[in-house]
Amino acid sequence: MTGIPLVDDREIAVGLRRLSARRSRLRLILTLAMIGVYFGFMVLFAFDKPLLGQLIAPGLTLSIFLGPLVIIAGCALSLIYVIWSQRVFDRQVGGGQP
Amino acid sequence: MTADPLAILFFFLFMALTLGITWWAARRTQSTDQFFAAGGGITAGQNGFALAGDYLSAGALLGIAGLITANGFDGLIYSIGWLVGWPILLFLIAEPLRNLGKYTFADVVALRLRAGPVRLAASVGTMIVILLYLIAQMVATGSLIKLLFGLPYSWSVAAVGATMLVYVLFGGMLATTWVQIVKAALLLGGGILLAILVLARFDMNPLALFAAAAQQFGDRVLQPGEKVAGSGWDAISLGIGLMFGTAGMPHVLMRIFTVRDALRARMSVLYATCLIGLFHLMVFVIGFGAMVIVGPGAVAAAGGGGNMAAPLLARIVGGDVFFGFIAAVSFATMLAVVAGLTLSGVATLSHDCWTSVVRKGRASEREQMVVARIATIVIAVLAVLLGILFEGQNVAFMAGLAFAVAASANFPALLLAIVWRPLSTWGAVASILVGALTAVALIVLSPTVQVDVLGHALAEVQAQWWFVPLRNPAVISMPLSLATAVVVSLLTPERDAAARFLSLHRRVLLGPTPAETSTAAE
Repeated sequence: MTGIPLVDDREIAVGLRRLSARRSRLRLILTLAMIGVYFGFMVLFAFDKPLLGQLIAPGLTLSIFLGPLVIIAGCALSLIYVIWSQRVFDRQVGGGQP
Repeated sequence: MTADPLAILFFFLFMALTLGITWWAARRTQSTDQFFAAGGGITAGQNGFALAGDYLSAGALLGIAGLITANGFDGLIYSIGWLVGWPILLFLIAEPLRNLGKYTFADVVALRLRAGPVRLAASVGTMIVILLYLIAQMVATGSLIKLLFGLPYSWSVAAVGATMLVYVLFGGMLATTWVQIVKAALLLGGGILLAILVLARFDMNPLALFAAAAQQFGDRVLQPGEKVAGSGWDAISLGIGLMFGTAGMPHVLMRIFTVRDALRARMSVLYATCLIGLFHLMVFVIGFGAMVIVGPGAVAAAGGGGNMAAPLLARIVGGDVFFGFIAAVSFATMLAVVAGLTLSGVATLSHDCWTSVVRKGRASEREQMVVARIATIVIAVLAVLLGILFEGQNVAFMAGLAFAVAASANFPALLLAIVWRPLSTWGAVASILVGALTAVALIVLSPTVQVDVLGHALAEVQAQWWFVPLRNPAVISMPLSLATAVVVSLLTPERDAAARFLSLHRRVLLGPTPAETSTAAE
């Protein structure tokens, strides 16, 4: 079963609309965060290669430090979204979803 | 490189396993829902692996490892670009897509617009993406099998085509999914093992590995360069194509429909993101490992455009058995990606074009399956012929172009259909066509085709008035596609489409009711 609550449509409408607005806002923020992190890195890569090429430790340049960090940030932002959705959205909307 | 008996043994083991899976799946694949979406019965964990399997092409292991071995840090730009699209897919697309669609992303766009024109336009965009990506995979596959197993090129391409045909034709989505899962597990396992074997030589410290590379080849290998991903706007354009192309790739989107509901779709995209991220970090280590342990000279000398870095490294750190294993896994990888692409092409031709547009949703289950199987054979034959025709071509540009077209043609229409109420039928159609055509035209006029493929001198091409200095078109074609959608939609307002958008709001959040599920195909 998909998560259709067994309550009257009008009853859930207000709560649902509020929840849906919160969720849309979170989606927008996380999307902008991902775009910001990625293109922040890509702008440095595209326009300031010497800065990214600086050695910050033996065997470690700024680019090698930040590059994998972008990958990890992608996974972390996804995790934040999924945890929020489960704790807040699914609990209020889905009821008994597994 | 001659045929390696262990590689061939692993290769046959994998073939036997996947054909066994196909035989098992074939008995369960009777209906179109089974054929295209595995009956929605795939779990989130399984689909996470299958998504990663569909997405991690041979380019991810062999190609990026080779780029890093030859150029150092720059190869990572592709790894990053191929990952950052996944969170976007998760935040904006995955759940509404699962709640609104049935087999293809066109379902979602068509749901509140006039289905005929939208589905046809979406099919054009989708088929361009699939054929380009399929050619890239087939060409890479043919030349690698030639290297790994000593088979002639055209035989290799035909063998891949024939095997993939068996998976898709008889096993449909269920068999394809399990082939992806097996392949993803082998690829991830092999990649992690290879990375650990490399790191074991450097006290498990990646920095020691990077320092060793810098000592041998200079600090340059740890620094961003110009060769792989370009500079300035070209690099930004590449980034746009990779990020938004991922969220518009038809074979990735199609996989969202194999799970039962939006919750599982969300979880499976999260799993896929983490698996792909982990894999790319391993490939970074593997690439530097090949640089230090094998040496860029030896990798280049082995042929295959630097693609042999990972297998050669495997032979040195893990012996012939590991070499055979990595070679067989690379083959499995290509086969699985080709199967996934073919299946999404089949869904487009039979579900979008035939069932929905030609037959207006009135085709019987039996007829739909017949059409799907004919489409499978057509695409398989086409893939083999194009693969042979394009032998020796630069495959990177075709893969890059596939992502750029996906970002410009598919992604804007799909996103606006989900979030933007005023989107009209002609707005969506114009956006898809403008995005696809500009992306293709810009690439044809760029140095990528004019210089690298056609062999014109750069100076001669630069003097032409039509010259496009960008190698990657997405920075122009994607905003143009979005702007087209907005302008045309505002010029051709469609009251029905806007009203239907509001009535779909509940379904985007909560998923279809049982009554809506049964009518979703229309």
